[in-house]
Amino acid sequence: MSLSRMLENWSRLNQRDYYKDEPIMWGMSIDLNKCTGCASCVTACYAENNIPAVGKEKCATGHTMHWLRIERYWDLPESEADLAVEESEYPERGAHFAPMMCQQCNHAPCEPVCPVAATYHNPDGLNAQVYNRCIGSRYCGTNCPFKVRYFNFFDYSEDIPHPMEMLLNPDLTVRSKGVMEKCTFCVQRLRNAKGDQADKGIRGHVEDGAVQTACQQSCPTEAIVFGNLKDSESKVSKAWEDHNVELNRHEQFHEEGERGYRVFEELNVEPSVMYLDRVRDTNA
Amino acid sequence: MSDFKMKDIAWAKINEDVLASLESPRKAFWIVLAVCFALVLCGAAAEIYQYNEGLGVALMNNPHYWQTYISNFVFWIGMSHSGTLLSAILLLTQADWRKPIYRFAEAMTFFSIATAAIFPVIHIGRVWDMYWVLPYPNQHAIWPNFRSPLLWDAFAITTYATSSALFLYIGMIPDLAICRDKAKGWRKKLYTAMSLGWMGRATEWIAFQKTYVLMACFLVPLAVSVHSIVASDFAMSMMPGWHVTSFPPYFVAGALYSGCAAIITLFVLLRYLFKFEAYMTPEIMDKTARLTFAIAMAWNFLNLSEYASIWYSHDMFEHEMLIDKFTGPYAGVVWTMLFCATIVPFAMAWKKVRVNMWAMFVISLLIQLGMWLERFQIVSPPLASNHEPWTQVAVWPGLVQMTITAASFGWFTMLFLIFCKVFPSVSMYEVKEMVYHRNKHGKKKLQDLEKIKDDMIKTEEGLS
Amino acid sequence: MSQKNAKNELSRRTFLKAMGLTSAGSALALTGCGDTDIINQVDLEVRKEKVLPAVDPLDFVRPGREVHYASTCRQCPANCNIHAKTREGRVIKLEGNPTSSTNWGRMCAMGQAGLQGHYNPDRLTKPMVRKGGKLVETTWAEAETLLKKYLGKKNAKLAWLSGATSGHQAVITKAYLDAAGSQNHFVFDTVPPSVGLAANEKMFGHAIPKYDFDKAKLIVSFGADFLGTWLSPVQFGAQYGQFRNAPRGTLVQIEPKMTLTGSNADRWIAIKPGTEGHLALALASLIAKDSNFKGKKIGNLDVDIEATSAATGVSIERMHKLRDMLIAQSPSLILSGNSAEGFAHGSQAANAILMLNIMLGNVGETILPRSKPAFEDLQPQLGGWAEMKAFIDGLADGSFDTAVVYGSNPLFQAPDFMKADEAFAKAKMRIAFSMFPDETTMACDLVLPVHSYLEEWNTSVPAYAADDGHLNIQQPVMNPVFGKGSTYAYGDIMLGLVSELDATFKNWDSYGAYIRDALATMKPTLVNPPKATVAGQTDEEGFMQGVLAAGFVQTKEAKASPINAKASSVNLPQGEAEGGKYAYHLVPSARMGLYDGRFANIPWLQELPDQLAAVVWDSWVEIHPKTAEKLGLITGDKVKVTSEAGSLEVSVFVFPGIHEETIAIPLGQGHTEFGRYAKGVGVNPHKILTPVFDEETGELATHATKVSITKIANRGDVDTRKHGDLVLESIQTSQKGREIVKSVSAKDFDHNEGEG
Repeated sequence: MSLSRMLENWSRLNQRDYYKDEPIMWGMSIDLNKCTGCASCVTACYAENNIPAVGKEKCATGHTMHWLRIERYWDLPESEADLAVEESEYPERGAHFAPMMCQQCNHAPCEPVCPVAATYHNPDGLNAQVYNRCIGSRYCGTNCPFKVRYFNFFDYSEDIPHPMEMLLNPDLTVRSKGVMEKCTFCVQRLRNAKGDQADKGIRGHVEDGAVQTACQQSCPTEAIVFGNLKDSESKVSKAWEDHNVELNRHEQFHEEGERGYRVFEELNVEPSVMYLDRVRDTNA
Repeated sequence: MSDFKMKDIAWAKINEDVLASLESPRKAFWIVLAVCFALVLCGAAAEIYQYNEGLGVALMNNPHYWQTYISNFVFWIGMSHSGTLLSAILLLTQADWRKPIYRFAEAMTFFSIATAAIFPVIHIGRVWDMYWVLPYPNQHAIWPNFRSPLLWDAFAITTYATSSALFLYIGMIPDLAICRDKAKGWRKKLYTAMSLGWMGRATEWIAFQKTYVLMACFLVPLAVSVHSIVASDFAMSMMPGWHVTSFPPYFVAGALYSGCAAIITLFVLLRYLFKFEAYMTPEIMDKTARLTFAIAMAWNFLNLSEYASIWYSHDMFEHEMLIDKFTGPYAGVVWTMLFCATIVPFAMAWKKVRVNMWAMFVISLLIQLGMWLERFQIVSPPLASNHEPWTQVAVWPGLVQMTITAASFGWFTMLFLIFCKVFPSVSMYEVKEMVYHRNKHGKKKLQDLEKIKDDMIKTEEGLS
Repeated sequence: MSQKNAKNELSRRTFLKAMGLTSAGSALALTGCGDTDIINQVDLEVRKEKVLPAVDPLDFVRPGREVHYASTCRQCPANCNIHAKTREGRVIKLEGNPTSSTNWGRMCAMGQAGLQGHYNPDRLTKPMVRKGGKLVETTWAEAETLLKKYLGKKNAKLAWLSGATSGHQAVITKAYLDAAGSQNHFVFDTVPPSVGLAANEKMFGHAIPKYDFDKAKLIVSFGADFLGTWLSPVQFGAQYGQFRNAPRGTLVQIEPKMTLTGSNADRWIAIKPGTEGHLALALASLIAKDSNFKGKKIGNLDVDIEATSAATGVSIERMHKLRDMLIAQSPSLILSGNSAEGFAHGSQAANAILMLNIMLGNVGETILPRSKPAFEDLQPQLGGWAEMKAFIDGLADGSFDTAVVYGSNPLFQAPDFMKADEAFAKAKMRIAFSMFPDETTMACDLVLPVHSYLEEWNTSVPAYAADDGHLNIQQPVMNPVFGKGSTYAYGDIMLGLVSELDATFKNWDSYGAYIRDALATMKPTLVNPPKATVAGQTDEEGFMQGVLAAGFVQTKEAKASPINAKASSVNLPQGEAEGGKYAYHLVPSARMGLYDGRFANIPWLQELPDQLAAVVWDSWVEIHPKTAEKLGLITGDKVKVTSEAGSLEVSVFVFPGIHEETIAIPLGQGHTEFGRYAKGVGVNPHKILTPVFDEETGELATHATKVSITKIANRGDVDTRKHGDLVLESIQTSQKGREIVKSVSAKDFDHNEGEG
């Protein structure tokens, strides 16, 4: 009976680390020392995830659908005051690039507010969006501090001119009008990788590097590292460890020079994406 | 019944006057109704266009996922509170000046909920799946998310709509019976069905009064909770400018405030359209205005304390949001709001203004404008200064949103005027009570309910 | 070498799936010209997507299972190796080939977007012929008759213009032109730095030597946007990733308009356009005079530092700092790029810049020699403006009567002063091999729709090969999108043509067969040629399968002899010619995205915000905030940019990363044809370039134009993403105190993450 199941799950739902016993927790590390802002990841994401190009008019009204966007800032954040930048009318230290996609928060603000539970946390640590459950209240979008949820304000799939529909990836849906969507960490690839493992009789373990997200795969500088945070041998968990970033901690206590941080950590949303400080040679 | 009435000429006059309102309003009534209907048609066209094309035509976007549909929703829910306040709270506190105006205030409650309830439908992306917010048993064993304030909204609004409709209806039964006795044709049938065979017996009155008071006791906390829940749509989120602990009382105060202003507007309107000069007197307006003034001060206090708590919070996001509110792209909205809702009510400090119908009409409209803008500035400016600077941008509601907003006013006024044309918008029996008591006890304070009941029973016994 | 950490992440599973085709020879049904092979046992009919089940499908084609074909990206001359992911017989994603030393499994945005060129709704599907002044669709039979009439004969007045070309595509083009008795093969590609390559050739003996970015402790780039558009951005991007590992190399970028590379520099130095060479000479002089410098001093280096500082706008302190860094951080790598070379003295500037490498002893350290190629004919031809000019001049003076264009768009690229359209109109017969209705194609008399690079056989050589002897193989990854008989491979048409004139080419009935045969012939010259891996496979089959699965082959190359660098004397003009009323330098900047305009019909790239300006779907002119203030301009205002050669109307984007006396208009837009996504969008800055040429190479001086700016319209709305006509992805430039991107100093970074 579903009611009893709901009541059963209620107490589990309120646990802090709901999925702590699960073998997989997908995570990412983005090294801003290496990210050049070239945006090949953005286009790779468009190609992999059937993201529509909406045209100039709709870009103007803010209806762009890029699940992964590159933010570009010119100013120097306060923490960089020690970077020895003299007064100049030019941005002599270059730009600040931040690839921003769904951070797959473990205390995701989008999850509790959805009236129909269309967005939920899956056992692999992903913030899953169930398109066909979504009714389009857009509460999740307003409550996301990273503003990385994108709403289908129009029926974009109807506008695809022939033969461009042929490049759609059959592994995931083409979203219809009225539903919210966002970065999934290329969940179709993750499912495939897990399925391949299951074929071999292995459950709960995906070899590091056996699956890549589209953005990671295209990144010319290898700035993006993706993998299983629960696998202590994976590159990503080593990166997290090296930079002393831990889940379930809303403030990272850094030794000097450890570069890891998560964006808006102070909001205690527990993102699964770690960024590494951008580096500039202050001697130059 | 007819015998009962004949005993007092004044009482007969009441019936005639009120029933006349069902027959021959001023010509302006039809003009206003036609304008409202035209607005509704425009709104319907806009909604059909939006439904076919997609919500994008309303110019909402990332990060402005919510805009005037939500602020209208809050506005109309807020407006509904005044009816409950006047009717239930003043009933319980035995303020007898409420009697000529509480009926239309109750009607206003119900119709503004009916208006508010449309907005979620317009707002959501896949309206055909909207019933999924209700916890109905289904073979998928999928339940709605009980943690979501939107779900609480769904419960709160359905409850509030049902109760306020019942409250309005129950309070109307004795009057419906009067109408039944006078009416002909389809009206006769309607009133006969709706008056539920009311005969005006003492036992009926006792049951009626009990029910009515009980309903009032139930409605007061309900009204407070409903708007608190609406406030939690914002307060439970993480957005700077939304995540405010004091939002529930602030919203309730704001609701009462805008509701009182709406009562004043409709007071003047009905008085003129249905020639109710004798019932809706300047004295009653004076009392209503005083009440409005008091609520305005409470609202202002909560508003300023919200600013203060943000200012002293030393939270970077909140600070930026607050500064952006007053200096950013929406500064015009915020300053207009403060002028209309904070400065304008001080005009009501003067009695001359309070008893001047047209002055009060203008003031009430200004306050309502201010309160509508207040809802808009709760929703939009925080989204334009959200956590993520890259997405920060101002977005103004487009033609579609504004048409639908205008249509909501048309829809509400249309429903309200139709109601006034079909049902007695001044409570005949309560006005009679008032007149009776005033005749009997002079200007003395109204006796308690038991006393009234005794009188009624005696009167009835005397008749039979 | 440099790729020490860039080992591939290829899992076994993907590798197995990357197995290419088995020999498809048995399925060939070929006629004289055209008709490629049947690749997939699935047939796609236009709009019906009817899947025809094969009675005996190849075992790797299974519904629901992806098949990867190794092939080559031909979006830009870098020619990265790719794996094309196909499902149910259609290609759905392009991914880098992890085993390739060209791109190590990575891809850029332009490569990813190749799919939208391939599936573009504006692709030509029928041949067209000009009848009564208008292009009308025709049948292939008629087109073939015309083609044979005009090209099936000896014609010394035939002129042929190709885009950057290499491999067997170049070979068969050359074979045909040889057979037709024409000497007039021109190659033109907009972005490759032809002046710099010529300078390289002169100085190092290699137009494109090998670069070791990783080994460099300091890279000083004079306008070489090696992360964006310079030669092979993905290759250099991968090397850059290594370069930034601890111990972290330092990047200094010196250019008038900040490029993507500049935005990643540790120090970006704005320099007055055209003075890069002067700065390089001044640096050389400072270095030579410094007591810490132990290297070789070159020539007469008596430079007035103060005058140079005034001319370049680079302070003397900054020059001293650069000197100290160049001496201390050795080996370094000094690069010269388009914005330093696009002047009348461009070659001289490039010489001055590259000379620093010799002085600082970088040659042999970060600049490495190449071997003499085993197959000279296959080597890349990147072309340049000089060839374009020769092509146009020849047409104008009547030296050519027939013009053929493939892979290039001269009518769009050529500046107005070249009067390319008038010259082109003079030819008696104009023929285009083209995928799209671009400007040049629409001006032709006969238009032959060709396959996309994902539908045809070919080989190519990357512009920058990380390993000598790298030959890319391109195979069809799916049946032609528009079905059989709609489009044909360029190679097949050429094979048909050349076999009319040269009977030896009758040996092959398709270009695919020709390529495979050529590969089989090359087998003895290859490094580790694949062998049969499956029982029952012949050696030939095994070889072909192995080669196709790999996607490239490596020819045995002689050992490269060390570079014998020759510094030539540098002769730079003193002082700048007075611009008169044209006060601003115009930089026509190429960017990763629309490149030179060839990708303007790809919606993904149109919608990809400019990495620095964040503008979408438009052209804009970048103006420094101070200049903008002086001119009373804000972002979104419309201005008229006028040069001696013409004017453009374009929206302003106020941008801090540009020299005050410079404005930049990105390349890529301004198409008057080219399909629904490109037509009528933005402006093409090349149109108003003035006739200035590099004195040495005769290349167009693309950065030498000076312009004036006049305001013509104020923008309207201010708060939204729309500024006048300009649409920005975001209007914000500041993090507003958030720590979204945090920064640390390289000193701390090396201290904590240094190896050892």
